[in-house]
Amino acid sequence: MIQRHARHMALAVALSLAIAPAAKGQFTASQSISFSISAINQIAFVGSPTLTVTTAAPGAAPSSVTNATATWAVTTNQSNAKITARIPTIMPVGVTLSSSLVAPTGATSAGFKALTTVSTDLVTGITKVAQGAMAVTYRLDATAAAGVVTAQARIVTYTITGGT
Amino acid sequence: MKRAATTLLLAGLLMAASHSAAAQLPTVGPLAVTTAIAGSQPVSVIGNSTYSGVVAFGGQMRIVCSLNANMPTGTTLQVRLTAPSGGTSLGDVIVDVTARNLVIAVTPPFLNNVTIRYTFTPTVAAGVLPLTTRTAAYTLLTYP
Repeated sequence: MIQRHARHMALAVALSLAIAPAAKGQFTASQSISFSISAINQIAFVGSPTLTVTTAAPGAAPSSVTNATATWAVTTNQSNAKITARIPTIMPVGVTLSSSLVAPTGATSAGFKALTTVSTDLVTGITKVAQGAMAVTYRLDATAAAGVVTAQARIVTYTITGGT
Repeated sequence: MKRAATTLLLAGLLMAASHSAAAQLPTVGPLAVTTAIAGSQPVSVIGNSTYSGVVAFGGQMRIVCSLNANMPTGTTLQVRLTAPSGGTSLGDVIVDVTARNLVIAVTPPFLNNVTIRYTFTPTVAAGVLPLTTRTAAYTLLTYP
């Protein structure tokens, strides 16, 4: 009698376990996700300005002209990146082309720097920033010794050098 | 009779064990962020996974997710669970060490065919990050 009761109890327990619903917290799953970030340094320049020297005050060198229609943008996730610039061939004698970049937040602009075939720093100390629509101002200076200069073009190459 | 009862008891124990299942899903990634458009934040990376299982329960449940550690500063991880039927997905949810609802009103069909989407989003403030891992824990809880 006792053995039969025990068997019935076992059967009842088995049946209750077989139809029990998933209770709170009894179903779980886990998954590992791996990720990384590389050094990122990106710049972009927009605009093709034209500068024409046309006048002078008597007794003075021809008047400089500026153009601030171009813009530039930068994204870097490093610290102390910098922007340099150069042109492929030198300017005509007596003519100087300079560029000045507005610095992004936290960085330092060197102001107007004459552009030559040697890279020159324009902005330094660029740290972990993503900023766009910053002004690029070009300035053309000419001395009387330059004479009349027919229309020419120079392609300015800007380079971002990553930091650390 | 005795043998039949023993067999039923073992079957019941096996069923009970399945109700406490802990599924280990394959690793996702690496989700590698490598570029940005100048002037904009780095481009997010997405990784996908799937899950298919049979879990019996009555009524409705919700699925929550938590990480074993918060994400590195300047980064977020979003998780989106979707399935053809059986629940309401809350879309892309930013996850951390706190259990966050991902799906509500879950019924058993949802777990038959689940798509898991991870979106890793850094800002420039995160800097350069070597390969790092987080473990997402998913739990089925009663709802509401």
